[in-house]
Amino acid sequence: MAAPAGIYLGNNVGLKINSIDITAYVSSITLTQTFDELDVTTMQNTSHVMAKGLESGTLQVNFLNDWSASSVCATLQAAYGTTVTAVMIAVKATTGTTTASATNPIYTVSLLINNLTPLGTGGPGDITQSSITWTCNSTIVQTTSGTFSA
Amino acid sequence: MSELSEKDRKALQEAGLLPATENPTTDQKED
Repeated sequence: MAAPAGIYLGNNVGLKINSIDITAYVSSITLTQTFDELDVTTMQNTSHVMAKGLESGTLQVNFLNDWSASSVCATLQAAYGTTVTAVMIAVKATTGTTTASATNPIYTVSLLINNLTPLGTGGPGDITQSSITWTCNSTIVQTTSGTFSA
Repeated sequence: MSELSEKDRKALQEAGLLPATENPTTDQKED
């Protein structure tokens, strides 16, 4: 049975940092969004009552380090210490521009690039790669229109 | 190409991810 529309393999997530498409170097990605829970429980409540607070988000990315011009390492080094825009799409087309839709949304967020591992990690027999978590500096906005271009 | 819907544009602008004056027809945000 084919998977229902809207369920995808995780091998086509697209990621752009500062408008540079680094999808080809990403081996895994996790975008986490959460709201603070504020306790507004008062007298005569019989359970805790929680209210929505501020949103927090993180983007965790594992990627292969590549020092080629305009590639992932140069992009991130230039962004180090600054806030940049990250754009992600659930399923990036293998070629050309991808159009967002309700079943293939785009997520846009500001990230504070406050940590990098420019030399990557690993030993003599390993590919140098990084496992980084960045803090979001804005809400995470899901859109179902617009395009994601490489 | 697909233009941003008004709802999406407003959401991005409210989050500070799209300048208020910008009216893109391609990528929703290019830094």
